[in-house]
Amino acid sequence: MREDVRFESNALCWILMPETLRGLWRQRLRWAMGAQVLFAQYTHLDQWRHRRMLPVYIEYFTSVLWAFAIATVVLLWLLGKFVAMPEALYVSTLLPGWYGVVIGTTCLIQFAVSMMLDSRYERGLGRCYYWMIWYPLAFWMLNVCTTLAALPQLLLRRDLRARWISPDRGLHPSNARGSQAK
Amino acid sequence: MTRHLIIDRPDLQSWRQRAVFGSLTVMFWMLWLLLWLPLITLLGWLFFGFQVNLQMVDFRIHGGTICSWPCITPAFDMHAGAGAL
Repeated sequence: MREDVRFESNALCWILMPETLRGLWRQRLRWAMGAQVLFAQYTHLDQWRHRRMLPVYIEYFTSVLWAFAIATVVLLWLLGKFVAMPEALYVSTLLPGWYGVVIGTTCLIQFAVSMMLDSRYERGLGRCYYWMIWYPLAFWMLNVCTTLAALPQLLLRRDLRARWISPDRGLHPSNARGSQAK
Repeated sequence: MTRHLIIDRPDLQSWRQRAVFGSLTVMFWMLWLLLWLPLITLLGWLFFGFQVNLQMVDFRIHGGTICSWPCITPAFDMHAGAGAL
C-alpha cells in the first residue's frame, strides 16, 4: 500500500505541556534521548523509499550540530575568561551577532504567521505572542542542554528499556486551593 | 472553535511564579531590542542624518535661515564649506 501525506488545514491537535521547569527538563531530555536513539538506529539515508524523510533528518542533524556548536562557543568563552586564548578561538561575548538575530527573527516571524493562521480557530491567540520571546531566548538554550545531556546518558546507560514518568500535572484547581488555604 | 480548548490558567500559579515569569519576559524582550540596537542606530543615523543635512546644510545655504541648533551648527558649517568648494 502506498502512503502519502497531505496538508489538512482543519485538523486540530493538542498537547499537554509540563507545568514546571523540572517537568519540562525531563520531557525534553526524554525527547532528545528518543530522537538520538531513533536517528542512530533507524536512519535510512541510503534508501530511496525514505527520500521524503531527508528534510527531517537534515533538520534534526542541523539542530544537534547547532547545539554542540553553541556549547563549544560557551566553553571557549568561559576558557577565555581564565586562559589566554589564540585570537581565532577567542570569544569576546555571548551576545549573538547578526546571524543569531536573523535566526531569532525567523523564529518570531514563524510564530506570527502560525498564530495568524491559527487565529481562524482560536480567537485572541495573538495575545500569546508576548510570551513567544521565551522560545528563541530560553527554550532553545534548554534544548541545547538536553541535547548535550542526552548523549552521555545514552552512551552510559545499561538499561535498554525506556521508562519515564509522565509530565507533572501540578496545577489543578484543587491543589491551588489547598496551597492557598495553607 | 471555542477558547476552552487551551488550558491557560495563570490564576493557578502563585504570585511569585507570575512575578518571576512576567519580569523575565520583559527582560527577554528588552534583550531582544538590545540586539537590534545596531540596526536601530543605523536607521537613526540615516534618517536623522538626512534630516540634519536637509535642515542644517541645504536649508541654511539655500534659504539662509538661522539655525535653531547652534551647538550643531559649526560641525555642519564645515560640511557646507566643503560642499561649496
